[in-house]
Amino acid sequence: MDKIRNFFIDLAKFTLFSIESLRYIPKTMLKPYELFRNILSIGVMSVPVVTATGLFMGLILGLQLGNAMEAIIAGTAQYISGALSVSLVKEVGPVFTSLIVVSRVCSSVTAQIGTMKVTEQIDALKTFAVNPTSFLVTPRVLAGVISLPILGFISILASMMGAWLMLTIFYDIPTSAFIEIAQLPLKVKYIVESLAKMMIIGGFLLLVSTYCGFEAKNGAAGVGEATIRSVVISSFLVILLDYLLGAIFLIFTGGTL
Amino acid sequence: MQIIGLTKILNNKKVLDNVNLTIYDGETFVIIGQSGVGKSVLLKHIIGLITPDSGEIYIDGELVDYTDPVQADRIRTKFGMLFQGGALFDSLTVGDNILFALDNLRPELSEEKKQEMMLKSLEMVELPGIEKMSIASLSGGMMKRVALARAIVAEPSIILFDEPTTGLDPITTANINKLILSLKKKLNTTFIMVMHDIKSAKYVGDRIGMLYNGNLIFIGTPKELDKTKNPYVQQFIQGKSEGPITEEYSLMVESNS
Repeated sequence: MDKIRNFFIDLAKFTLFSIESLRYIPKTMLKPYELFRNILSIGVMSVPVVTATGLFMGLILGLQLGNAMEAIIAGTAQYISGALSVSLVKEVGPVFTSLIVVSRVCSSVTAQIGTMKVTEQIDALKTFAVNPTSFLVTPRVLAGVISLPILGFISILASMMGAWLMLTIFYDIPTSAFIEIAQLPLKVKYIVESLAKMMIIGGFLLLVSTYCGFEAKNGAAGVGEATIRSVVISSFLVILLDYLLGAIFLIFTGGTL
Repeated sequence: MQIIGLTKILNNKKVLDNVNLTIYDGETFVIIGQSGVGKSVLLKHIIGLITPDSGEIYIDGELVDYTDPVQADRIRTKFGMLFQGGALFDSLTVGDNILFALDNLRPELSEEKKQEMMLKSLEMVELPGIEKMSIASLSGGMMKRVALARAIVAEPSIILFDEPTTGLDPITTANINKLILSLKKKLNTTFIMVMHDIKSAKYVGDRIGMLYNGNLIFIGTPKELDKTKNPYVQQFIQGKSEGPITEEYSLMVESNS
């Protein structure tokens, strides 16, 4: 019973924390230095790892799916680009990119803020009449909202490049055919939904990781626990939000393909 | 500054029980007591890092409500605070840490003036020329001095010290005490300090208050402290394990720290 009660208390605290962070969006936009600094550390610095993992994912998918398709019916490997483009844009790209961001960004944000908490740096901010939420949370949340769609786009491009490499090397698929078939099933609304999904997931990931940092207690061990908690909850949230947002978009678009 | 009827319960324990205290402008008031007895809790109430369950705090005759963010920010410009661990922002250099205080507490000043005040504050704590150093490269004593420079740079009228010499070797402790006294003469500011080192308390304090079982059981000058017949105070300042302060009580308060 205690665990259930504590879960709902935590949920209520997180909700209030999130609402407070949203209040400071106008202030952050007016003084954007912290926002730009966080876009740099969350977004720009994640580009290499997102590109590399996206590329390798594309290489693996191109190789394995190409092999599978050719084993079923010869000469059908060229159609993979169409399946890949839709699945990468709608699901795989957002989820995979978000999980990379969880491992790289959420853990470091929670550790940084958690360390500030246990060493009284957050209290020190208050003594300088600086609101910790407006200084530490809102810029990071906004940076997540802005960065994740861009990172997702880069990851999807890198994956498609990886798949193209495999299909052209092993199955002699012409580049023109790859591109044409990739575009066939893609609709603008898939791209719009994917971007919206990643913006929302990006915001939530940074809300969760900053919240876990603020809740850290009991020194270095507490910061470690907060970091683990942040990564676990964020990872679960990626899958949950992907499902929920996908279902909502499907309902609003009438469930058509 | 006046505290009237301050009460605070933490983790189901009454840490402060109807505390009354008047601190006069320009004096150095030292709060002593066992580890975990609530000294830092009392100090943090003064600057609003903790809010009381009941009671009132008056600063310069004004009743302070720290839940009002506008009043809280205004009142906090009167304070500087030296935290126990320094609470320096380790992502900033020494100079940037001090400038952070000025940027937020004295935003009306020009950049040149802020630079000048930053350099002057480092000279006052006898650490000239280290403004470009990183926080990680500082020794414990240097960190305290830099944190002190940050606390005094905005020329506050009240400076709070949370265990300024804890964790330092005896020579560094003596040097910090000497520095505090010299700053006192130069700045003519009210100092409110929390410590459990009796020797330091008597060296720097104009008046000393001892916190025990939620209340200030002694308030007086260092000479009055030595002469008091209060058995609790005598047991504490003589460092004896036998006396009216029982081992059970000591273990209980120690578990709070």
